[in-house]
Amino acid sequence: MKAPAIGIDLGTTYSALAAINPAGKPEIVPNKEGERITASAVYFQPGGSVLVGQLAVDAAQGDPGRVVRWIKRKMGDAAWSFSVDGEDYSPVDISALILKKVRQDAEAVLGQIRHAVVTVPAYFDETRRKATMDAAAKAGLELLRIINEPTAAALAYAADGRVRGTVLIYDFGGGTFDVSIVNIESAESVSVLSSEGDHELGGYDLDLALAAHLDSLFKESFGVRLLDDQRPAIVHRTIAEAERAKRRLSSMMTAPSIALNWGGHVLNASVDRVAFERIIKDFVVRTEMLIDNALSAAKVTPEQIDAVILVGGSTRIPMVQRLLRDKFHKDPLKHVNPDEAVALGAAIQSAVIMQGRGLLDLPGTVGEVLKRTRLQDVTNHSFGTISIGSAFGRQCLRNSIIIPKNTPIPCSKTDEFQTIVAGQTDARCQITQGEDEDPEFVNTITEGVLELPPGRPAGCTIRVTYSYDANGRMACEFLDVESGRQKRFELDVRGPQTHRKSQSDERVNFDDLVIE
Amino acid sequence: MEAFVGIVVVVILIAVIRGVIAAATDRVQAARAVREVRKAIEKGLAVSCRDDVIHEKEGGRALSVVRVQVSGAIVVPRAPLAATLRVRIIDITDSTERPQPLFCVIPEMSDEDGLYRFDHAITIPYHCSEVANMPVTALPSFALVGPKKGSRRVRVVVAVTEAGTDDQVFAAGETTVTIKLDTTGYLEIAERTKAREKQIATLAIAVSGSDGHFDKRESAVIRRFFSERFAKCEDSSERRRGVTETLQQTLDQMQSGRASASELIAQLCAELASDDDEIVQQSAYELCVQVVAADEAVDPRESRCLKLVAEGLRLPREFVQATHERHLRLAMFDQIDDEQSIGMPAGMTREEKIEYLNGEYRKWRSRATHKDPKVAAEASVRLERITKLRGQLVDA
Repeated sequence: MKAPAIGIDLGTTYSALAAINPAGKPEIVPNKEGERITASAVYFQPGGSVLVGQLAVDAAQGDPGRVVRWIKRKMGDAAWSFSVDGEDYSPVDISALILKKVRQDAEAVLGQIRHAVVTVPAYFDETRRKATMDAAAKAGLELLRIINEPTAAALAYAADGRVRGTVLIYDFGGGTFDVSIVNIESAESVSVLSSEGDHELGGYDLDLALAAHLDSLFKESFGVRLLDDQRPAIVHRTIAEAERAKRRLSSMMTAPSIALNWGGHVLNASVDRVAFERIIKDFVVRTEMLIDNALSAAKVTPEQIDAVILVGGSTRIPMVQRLLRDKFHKDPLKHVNPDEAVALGAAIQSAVIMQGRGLLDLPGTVGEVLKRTRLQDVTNHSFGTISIGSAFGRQCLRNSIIIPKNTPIPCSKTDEFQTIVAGQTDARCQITQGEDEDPEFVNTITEGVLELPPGRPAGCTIRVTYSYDANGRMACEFLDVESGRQKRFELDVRGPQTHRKSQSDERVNFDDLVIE
Repeated sequence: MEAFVGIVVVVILIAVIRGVIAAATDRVQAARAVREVRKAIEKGLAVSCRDDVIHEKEGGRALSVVRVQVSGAIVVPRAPLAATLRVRIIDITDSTERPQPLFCVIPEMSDEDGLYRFDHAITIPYHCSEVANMPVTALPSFALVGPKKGSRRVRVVVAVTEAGTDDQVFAAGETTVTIKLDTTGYLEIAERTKAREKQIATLAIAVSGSDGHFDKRESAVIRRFFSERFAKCEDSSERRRGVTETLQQTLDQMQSGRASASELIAQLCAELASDDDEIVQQSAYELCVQVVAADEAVDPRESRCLKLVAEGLRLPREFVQATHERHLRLAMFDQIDDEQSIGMPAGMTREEKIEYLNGEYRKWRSRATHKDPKVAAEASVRLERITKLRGQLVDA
């Protein structure tokens, strides 16, 4: 091999790195602590050094103000930053530290790593994908491609050879949930039919819900709350206890001796599985609704699903497995470790790309198979532009979708629009992301102005072409057909907008009703 | 060009006469020729009109038109000459001194302001030409919009000008004709608009006071609505004054107990609904919803009031729901039934409910990543509500 083919699962709670071995098989590369997965936690030590991994998680027990966890949930949030010792760290900075840690630990085993495939939740939008790409670059990685986590898992199962047909990938991780319907024809042909997800739904939410339950038990007993923002160490400890209890409840009917203490009060709480399932029920129901939507988008019924694959640590919860068994009348598959499947699949994709580019030199059949391997993913959101349309019989601005959600990628779609008035000298070009027709409810990713020649009648054609590449990134062109003038877009991600301020609550007098 | 189909042009070659004159040795013949030319020039263009009917297509609607034709002489400084045949119309029903414009809804027969315009490129072949009963165009009375509907006195002017400019007129003529306009006139529309604005203003202030309290934030919404509306108008001072007076009078009536919100709402909805103008009705309802949302709380009385307005205006359920989603957040409601809060229609079966909830989940799921934190937060609340309802269905 010329260089190692690397796949990295940049997870909310844990990250993992896998590489293709000389036999062409993906395998997890443990970190320098010997762990197969690395906690996605960063501890900024006093003095300036940084710890990443389980040590950072442990440090959070005593020094929570210097530890960042679950940063993946903040990806793409331009307003968020972590301040410590006078320095501000963005989600990209912190994710880059995690990627750097897993890269450097693997380099100790594999030698220098330059290229990698990094995974993102299928439901990540443009902003978050771009942030992930920036983090990889900042960690010194030349990104071959970013691929969706469930798609990567599908590749791992396809390569494993035991699964074929229409497969549902249920990826319930620490911070995000994705479900994809995938057609695995062979190890060399995997195509995604539809994808759904929620990047605010993961094991961490279950931890918080259980922690809230423990908090209420503590308050009942002692009249004081554990989850008080003024006591971050206690909050952290309570959530950590909840997480431990959650894990135990996956194999035991009761999680006994949950030690809760604060201010001299000590409570040995216990939670049984029935209570736990009541607490987390709404979250599991949400995953079921997303499954229904993914099935509907793929035009597949539960009976047509040949296999259900579990990915992510939260799939160990018996209630989740029961839901899937009841819905699909078959046992979900988990013969690839749910914590590792994504990284393994990413490594395969990395090898496919590197072999294609001549960066990897796997011999014989293995190399040939990689060269033939085709992965077809889909868009996870709809992309469109704002134009004049009609709703409920009146003319108004509408979001015209150009690339619908779940379109196979790479793809290129063209639509035509007309100028509205005679003498129109410019056209506002907006690129939107979202399924709504109402522009109020979609995000404008970027916008600009296409200047038009003067003195023309209304109805001149503007041809709009959107191209979506295999990385899940997009390029757009607005072309004035008659003049040949065009506006091309590189995505310019905007920060979040701010709240409008509340107004006064005074009573009305006549002066308030004078129209100006 | 339809106006020129089957054209019967009798072009007398007056210009030839010039040659005849030049060639004539007989002075009497020459003098006669010159007299004839002068006579022809003095005639100018005589414009005549006649009513006719055309059909959209075979078996289609019959559309009334007024056919215009001209007779007379056209003298140009050189020949052949590229010229433009122009037709303009004005409404002189109320006054010949202050004629009023006539608009045409057919883009090809109107200028950038929508005024009727007929311009047709022609070539005048001779220095002096005479035409007789030459069809010019058909005025589309069915597509004309005048100051008022009904029979109107319309002056029709036909001119032949130099191509590309109307500075030099070679021949012109006019006539007055009565045309029956089927479309509501723009003055009538303006009057109706003013009346509608007052009705909307009254309705909005009635809704504002339906919880027994007039809030400054609510009045600010009403003011903004009308200010934005009037900002696009050139001369709106009278309309501003009218709406302001209406608002103040209604406030006075309600505060003094001379009018109740429910009575006003019922009356105004009936008036607005009778007009069958869904754009006005929708605008009125959207304003009412914005007024209710302005103080960040939806009182049960306001909820009832909105229901009354929606029913009174006979608005489609989808529009009402979409409008609520744009302006009302669930947190604004003191009490609201879960199913009602997400707009679930009553009487659905379990399967229909699941389908509906999946659709709502899909919709709000997409909005949960909106850049506006208000929209994203509302989406989260709604997703929770939808999940809870779905969970209840699973239990059931």
